[in-house]
Amino acid sequence: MFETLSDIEQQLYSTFRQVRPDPDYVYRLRNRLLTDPGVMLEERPKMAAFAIVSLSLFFGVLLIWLFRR
Amino acid sequence: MTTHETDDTLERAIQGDPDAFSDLYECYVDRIYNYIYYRTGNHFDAEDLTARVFHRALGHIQSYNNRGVPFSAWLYRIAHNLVANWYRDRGRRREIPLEDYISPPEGSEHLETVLVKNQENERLFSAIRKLPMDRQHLLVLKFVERLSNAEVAVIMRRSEGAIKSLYHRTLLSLRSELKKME
Repeated sequence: MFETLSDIEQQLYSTFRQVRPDPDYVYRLRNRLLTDPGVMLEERPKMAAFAIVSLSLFFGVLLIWLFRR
Repeated sequence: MTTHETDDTLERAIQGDPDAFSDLYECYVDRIYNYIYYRTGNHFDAEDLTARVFHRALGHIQSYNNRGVPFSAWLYRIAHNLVANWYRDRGRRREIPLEDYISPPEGSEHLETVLVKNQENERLFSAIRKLPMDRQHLLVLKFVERLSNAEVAVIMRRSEGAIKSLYHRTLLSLRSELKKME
């Protein structure tokens, strides 16, 4: 049935077919691409991060001091 | 869209013109969808990954360098990477509905002829599924997308000669697999 390589090529050409996406999907995706601002990652304020780390260290040291008393 | 128009549209899209990006989207969405559909085997994931390709393209179009790599090849590479991640993350094997792959029979064809053809197609796709991923990738680009060896070479980041050789070896593997099935 598939004696030669060109038989296989012919079969591949005749068997594969193009598929089309749903037109509604294409339309909705285009609108999303052009209107959505996209996902933005909010940057944590550096001062807030510094305050959190400082407070954690302070309370950590305070707890150790209390347990040692 | 002619090459000149594509270049002009691309230049405007890189500058941030949303209408230009919309034109590029219209021009390539079917091809990218088609490619992803044949790599994933279902419409649901094809829609999801196609959306990701264009979101990524929109987000990175300013870094697209027009020298050497055509825009379509750039999109196919994004699609290829996303499909590869999709396989890696989910550890999925290819689940391709044969009835979606196989062309519908001509109305005038005799039933027996149709059945024989479907059996042949089924054997062919069983053999294709046994091929390594890069060879399946090559077959989709050549037979679904109808791309030339030169275009496939740009997308797969290989020389045209390497693609010709890979294609020849792919056909030999297919023939050998089909003979085993007889």
